[in-house]
Amino acid sequence: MIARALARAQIARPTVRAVLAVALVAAAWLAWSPGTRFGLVGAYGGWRYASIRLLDVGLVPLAVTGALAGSGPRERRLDEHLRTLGLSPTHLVGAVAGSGAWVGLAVLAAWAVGAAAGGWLRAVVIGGSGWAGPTASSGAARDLLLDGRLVVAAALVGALGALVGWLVRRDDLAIGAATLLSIGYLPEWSAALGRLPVTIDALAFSPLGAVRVAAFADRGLAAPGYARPAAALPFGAVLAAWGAVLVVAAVPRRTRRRSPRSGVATTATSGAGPGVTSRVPGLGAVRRPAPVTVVRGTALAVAVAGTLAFGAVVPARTAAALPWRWQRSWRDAERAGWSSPQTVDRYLQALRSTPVGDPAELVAPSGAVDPAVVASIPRATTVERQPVESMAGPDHVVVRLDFATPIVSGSTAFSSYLIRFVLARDPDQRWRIVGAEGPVADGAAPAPGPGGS
Amino acid sequence: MLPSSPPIAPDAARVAPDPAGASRSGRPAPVGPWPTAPPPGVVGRALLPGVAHSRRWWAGVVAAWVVGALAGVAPAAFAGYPPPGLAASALLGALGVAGLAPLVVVPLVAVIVCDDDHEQVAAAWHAVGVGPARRLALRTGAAALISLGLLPVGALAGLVAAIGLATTGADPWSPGWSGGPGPAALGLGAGLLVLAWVIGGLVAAAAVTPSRAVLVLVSSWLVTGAVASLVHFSAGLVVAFRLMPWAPLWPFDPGSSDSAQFAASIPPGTRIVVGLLWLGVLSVVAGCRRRSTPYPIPGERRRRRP
Repeated sequence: MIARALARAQIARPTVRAVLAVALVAAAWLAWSPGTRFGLVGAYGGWRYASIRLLDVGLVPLAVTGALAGSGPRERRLDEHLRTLGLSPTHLVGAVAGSGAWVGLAVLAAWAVGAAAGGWLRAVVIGGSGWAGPTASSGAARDLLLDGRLVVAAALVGALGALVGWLVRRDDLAIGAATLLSIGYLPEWSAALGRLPVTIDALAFSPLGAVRVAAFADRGLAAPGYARPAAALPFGAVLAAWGAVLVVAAVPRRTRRRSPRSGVATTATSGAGPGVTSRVPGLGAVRRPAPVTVVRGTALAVAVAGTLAFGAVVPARTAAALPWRWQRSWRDAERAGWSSPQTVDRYLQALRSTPVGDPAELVAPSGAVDPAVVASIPRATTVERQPVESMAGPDHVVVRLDFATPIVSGSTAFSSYLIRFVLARDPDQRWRIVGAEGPVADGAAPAPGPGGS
Repeated sequence: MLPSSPPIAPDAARVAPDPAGASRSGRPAPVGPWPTAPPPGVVGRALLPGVAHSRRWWAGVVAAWVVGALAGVAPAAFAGYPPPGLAASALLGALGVAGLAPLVVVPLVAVIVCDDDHEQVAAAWHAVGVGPARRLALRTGAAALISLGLLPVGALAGLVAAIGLATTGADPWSPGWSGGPGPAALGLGAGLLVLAWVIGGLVAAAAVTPSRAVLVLVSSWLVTGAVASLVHFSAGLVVAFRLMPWAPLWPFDPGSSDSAQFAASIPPGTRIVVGLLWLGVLSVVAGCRRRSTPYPIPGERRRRRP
């Protein structure tokens, strides 16, 4: 009952209502735009498509409202009033977590309404069933199972968010913490996280990540191509562990001691924040001074050790996972003037210079360039090498040859040709040409008149 | 204790204190121990101890530490360059905090500036002759002063991360400035820091409560990032993206980033115009908000006066 009352109070807050409105609009947009391409029109069709997005795009508003449900009573000292009325700390934390679960269900409801509205509006605009298209449902049993999982997951995310909010005590910090916990599952991050697959694995072990894996049996990301089927049960255990950790941290430890001033026995609450000097008996009116120096010193030592380990381990791994243009070897080759486009530039310059230079050192001993390629390069009016930004990889460089006088082949005249150089890196880190493909016609010129050559 | 105090009338808030004891409008001037408003330095020094013990300061310290550690090894980890010298890494760490000031410093400044309204002690400033605009400016200056403390944190983190990188022995290390940022980068960082202070102060003036300020900032970041990622799939959204609140500071340019999803080219002129536009919008919203309710009380709605 207290949980529901706290949840109702939260939903009455303009800030929480604004987040609920954002969730509704986001779900409507998701159901409106891409889902309908697959025939998922109609209210139920929109829900079927957008429902699972609650645990990626919708995870942020879900976690934020849950966190506000936890921090709100704390910041407004409502917890002290409830404890004055006789509520035990354990029950109080339970009520707050329960209110977070209820608020999570409210977000789920807003999401459902938005998704259904988006799907229905799409059906009105483009036609089709106002309820669901023929491909929307994958069977009543599977739909119900997924919906049930979503309901439980929404409540769990809300409850976990509430516990986090309770621990951080302030609304602003609660919003920040909830955003940090949930932002990793936004589809926009998928490409960035995909470069370091270990981050996807780590994300699955985060509190909200564990909820998502347990709900969908997938420890991947929301974006296409990042699905990683996983057993739900182990991650259910991870989720339970996170819940236990948060509950233990949230429930204050009670230690009775004597007040030095009044001599009245009071109960000190280790969960009380700095500067909180409640006069309510049992709420931490008298506290032993926190060993601030020890705590800060330990925190600093842990931070320094962690950062040293980070510096020793992570940069090498991230550097190895970088795209080729950001690789150390590529930078070194560029600096030495032996990157693949620089080699091709010098090769072209050697063949087009007068007198013709010797490109032998630019071609690998094992490589060979077709005589047709060698002959075509000096004859071209202009030569243009593709920019580095448009290269698919370091080992292929495309060159375009433009001819002022079109070359006639049969009944067609061509004014430009493409040559694709294949390069390989030598042991001395120099890129050398190992082959060339082409020239192939690229641009046709106007057909020549009779007698043209 | 001020929570139960009625809101002060808007016109009363604009009454300037008069040394003679009466304002120009004939009403009694605010009485206080200070004959004039406290100078900015006093405000900053007074604010420092309170904020330094608060959780948001420590949250800012953690964020600055993480950013500084990443920035300190960024050339080797994310750009394919040799590891910078230790001193350069420290400078890179501080520069990383300044460069990410829109993400790290803006929320810190905003929530600190919101304190007076949120704790409902804004009227106390009025009692010492400080109006809403000056109070917000003083508070912003003090918060800016406090946020400068994050730079050494980032520098220390960058230094420690660089020492960790040097211990691997993969590259020869140097204690000097090799691989450090140039003057242009330092100037850009300083500019971003100042801009972050301005944005933080304006967001606070418009949002009133810390939670609302953080929510506004988080929403603006997410919306800007989401629209930027959609531009890759729908080129028609280019104009919409350029009008996003953080588009003027968008760092991912096609020339310097290979992210097809997030790299977007925005001409410098567009950045300046859109940035000024958003600063103007924030200023107008903040001005209107403060003109209508100089001392808003969070959680209470204004009642229409008969």
